[in-house]
Amino acid sequence: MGLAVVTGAGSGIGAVIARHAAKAGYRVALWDVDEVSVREVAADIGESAVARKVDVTSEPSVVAAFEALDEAPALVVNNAGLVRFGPLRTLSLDDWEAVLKVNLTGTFLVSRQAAAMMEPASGGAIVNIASINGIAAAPNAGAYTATKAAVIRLTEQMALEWGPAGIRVNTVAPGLILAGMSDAIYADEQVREQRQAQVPLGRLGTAEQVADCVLFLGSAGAAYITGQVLAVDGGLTKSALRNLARPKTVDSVGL
Amino acid sequence: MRDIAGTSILVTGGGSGIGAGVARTLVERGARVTISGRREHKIRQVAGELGPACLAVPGDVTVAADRERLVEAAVEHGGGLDTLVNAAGNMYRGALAELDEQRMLDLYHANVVGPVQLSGLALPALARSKGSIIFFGSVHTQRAFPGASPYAATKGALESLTGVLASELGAQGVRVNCVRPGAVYTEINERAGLGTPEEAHARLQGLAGAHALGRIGTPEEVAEAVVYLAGAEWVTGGILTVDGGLALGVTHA
Repeated sequence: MGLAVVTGAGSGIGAVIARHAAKAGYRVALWDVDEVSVREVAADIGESAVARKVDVTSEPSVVAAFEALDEAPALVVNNAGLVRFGPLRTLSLDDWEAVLKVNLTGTFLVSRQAAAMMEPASGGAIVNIASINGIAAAPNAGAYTATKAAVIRLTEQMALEWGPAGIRVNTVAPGLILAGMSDAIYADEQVREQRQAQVPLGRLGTAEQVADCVLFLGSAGAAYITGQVLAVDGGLTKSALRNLARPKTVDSVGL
Repeated sequence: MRDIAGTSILVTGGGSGIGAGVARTLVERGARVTISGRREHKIRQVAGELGPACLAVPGDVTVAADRERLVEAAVEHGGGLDTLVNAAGNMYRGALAELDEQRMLDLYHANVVGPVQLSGLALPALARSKGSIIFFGSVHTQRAFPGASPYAATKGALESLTGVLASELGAQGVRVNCVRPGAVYTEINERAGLGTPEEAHARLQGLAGAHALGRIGTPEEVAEAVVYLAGAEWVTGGILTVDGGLALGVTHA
């Protein structure tokens, strides 16, 4: 299976992706800016896991992390992400830039370095974690929506440029997931129920379901899939109009 | 992920092309597969190769009585129905001014109306198993291929109704997804009037350089996407493109 790198692996969805990758037979490099938590997750996974403090927004930090690897990674998962909630009118420039740096610049820096190592190894797979916010806007999401949309387009650009080198690049867009950054939101029972009701499958998703998709896109089964975004969202992004009222007596109009 | 081993899957158009590749892959992964098709010798041949896990049921998705037989046979063969794979499809091509009305309607019947009717018929069984429906879109909805307007339109219809049906059936626990293949060599390309097998194949091979991965795909590679979607319990309304990067619009300068 080879080596998998997971950024933002110290908590939430990233930690679950790292665990799943190890279970699937990868050796796993777990990277996170929070050294304490990432070491804990790696220790828990066991011998196949190595933890490292990496700041994806710093080119020297990313370059050094790749140089420390003992082989070219077969799979790199750009999972590190940041959200700073707030209406755009009052969002500070610092918050805007912090989110751009982690979500977009971080994905670029890690992917570029990964591709440089993968090319002489005749290929590999990169999976970016975007969000359904990259497909549809949401109030209060600040810079998050724009960065995730940018990651989806950056995925296409990288797939196009690196396809001839045998490097596939795809994106997973998680929906309402009960894990990681969203824990605080779903602690509120009323909010949780209201959100669940919007999902066609009627429930929140799990980090495991996101990890399953990541591992599929990284696997040989996805050998002909590149440049794509796959929403793991219980149908939410296809359901914008499902809650509109309509009189039961009206079945057709304009006929 | 739901393991597809032991699940019951109905694959229409299982006698050739992508449908046959899907059936082969699903049987390899331990599923109980029922395949259908209009040409009995074709589906019998595939089922013969795949052994007792695969049942061949001759039938045409545009015929109501056939659809009923298909669902009944699949439920009996697999002990219920977990996944319906609508792989049956046809292609009709032509210049705008020469398009034949009846052939356009027949194509819409075969590619859209039949699969939708079949899906409705399979719904009670799928609701019992919390199963899923898979349609096939096409790269034709993403890139224009002159002369392919009837086919592209039917595939656009399937991609649109994937989202609507996902939204509609979610409450019953039934998922609806779509696989969007790119250039895959199958006999549909010959049937569409692209010439002899050699000519049709050469025409598709000519597209290789337009793919990010530099080559056309295989039915088995498309089948892997079906395996994933059949087991992905929180993916619905999704369109998974399996095209080697063809729709990215690659130009190698």
